[in-house]
Amino acid sequence: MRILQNSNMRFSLRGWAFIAAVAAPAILFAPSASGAGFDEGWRAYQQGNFAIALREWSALAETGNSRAQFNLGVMYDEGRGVQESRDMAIGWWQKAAKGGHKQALHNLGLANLFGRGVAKDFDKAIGFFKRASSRGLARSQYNLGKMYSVGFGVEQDQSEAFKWIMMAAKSGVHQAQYNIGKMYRDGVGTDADSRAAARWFLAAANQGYAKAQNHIGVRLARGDGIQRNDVEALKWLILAEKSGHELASQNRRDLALKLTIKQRAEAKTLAAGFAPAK
Amino acid sequence: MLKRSITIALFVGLMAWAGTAAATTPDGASKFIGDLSSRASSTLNSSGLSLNQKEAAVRQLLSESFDLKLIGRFVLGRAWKKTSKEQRVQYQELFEQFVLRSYSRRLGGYTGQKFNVTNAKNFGKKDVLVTTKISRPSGPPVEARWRVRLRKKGHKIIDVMVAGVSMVQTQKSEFRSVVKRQGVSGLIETLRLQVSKFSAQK
Repeated sequence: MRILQNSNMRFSLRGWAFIAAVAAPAILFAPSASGAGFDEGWRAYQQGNFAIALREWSALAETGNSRAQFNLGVMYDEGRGVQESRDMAIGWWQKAAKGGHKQALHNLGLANLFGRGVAKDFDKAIGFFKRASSRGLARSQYNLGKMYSVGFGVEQDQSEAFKWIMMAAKSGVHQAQYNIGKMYRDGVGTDADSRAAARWFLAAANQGYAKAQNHIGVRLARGDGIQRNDVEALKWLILAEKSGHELASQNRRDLALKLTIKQRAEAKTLAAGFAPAK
Repeated sequence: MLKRSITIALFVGLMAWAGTAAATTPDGASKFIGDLSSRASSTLNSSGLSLNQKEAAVRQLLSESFDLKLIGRFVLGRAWKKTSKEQRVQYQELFEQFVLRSYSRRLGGYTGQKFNVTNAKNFGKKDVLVTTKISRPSGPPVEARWRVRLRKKGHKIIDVMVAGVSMVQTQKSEFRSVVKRQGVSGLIETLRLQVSKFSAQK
């Protein structure tokens, strides 16, 4: 299955006239500053002095600095201090990509995937994501994994999906860790392994991901792939509920009914002391 | 018979009360938009905040002021009924990220703009349409209209219109087109990919 092949997907914010109107770009002609460089441009950018950022980064970009080239591309893409221009954005990202800039490769992958500023080309999109992934960019790895998982712009291939999502999971992407947990649970793209599933759900839960906290809470309560521990289970369910996970609320109530006052208090204390792993 | 009449009267009274409670007034909605504008201006014009901090603050402000769950459900249209519970959770999560990221990026770096409420009138049975004039240091002023509804947690924006173009209707039309070709899973994946784009890097 290849969901996007030959489709003419048009997906943009063009109709949100409000955004364009309110944020209509205006170059702020700021006084000239000497010296500078990339950091000067960054400071100016963070202060909203886009004209200075543009000047500093343009000078650097012309000398082949890929970081400056990438940021200039973003300025044109988002219309920051310049007239929004996809062509200009793509042009600067292509230059940055030649220097191996990971984020430029990633954004070019998206541009090719959606045909924004370039002709839609799924193979090129995949190529850009793979180049960024090979340079260790977890977000590209995760994109590839999800695209193979649902057959978005590529032939559906669960083994490929597992391979790329696992890379992102190992890089610490909590959604990827959660997804790997599900793949191990269901035996998708790999053999089913409830212990591995629990391990990855726990990894994502430790990063504060509510969905994973609910999953590991339920597994701890059942002793499914992990040593049963009711207090720990309740702790995770309390945390997931606190993050607004609806199913966790019911799970938390059901489990709490089975525990003693002391166990409930202990779980509450543990939840209060929880800090997401960085 | 008397008992039944009392019950009906109580029911009608309760409904009338509930109707009043559920509807906002032009004054109430104006105040809500006015307060929101003041907070946004204060954030955007703060010299002590970096661009990233301003964007985060705007994101938080928008998150509190828009009823994104209601909007998200509406723009998905009839497809909502065909989505699984898990898909709905995924979709809502990504839709919120998509909207908040788009708005905060566009607005966060913009300083010096002033918002003035110029009009407010009832819109339909429950809502009020508040008109604001947004003046900017450069360029002509922009008129935006905010559709406000009183929800359980207070006033919420449920649509924004500029030049007669509704954000919600436009988005609904775009989403319908994606769902028609790729289904809800395609829309979810599209949203997820869209929000993965990188912004400026240090």
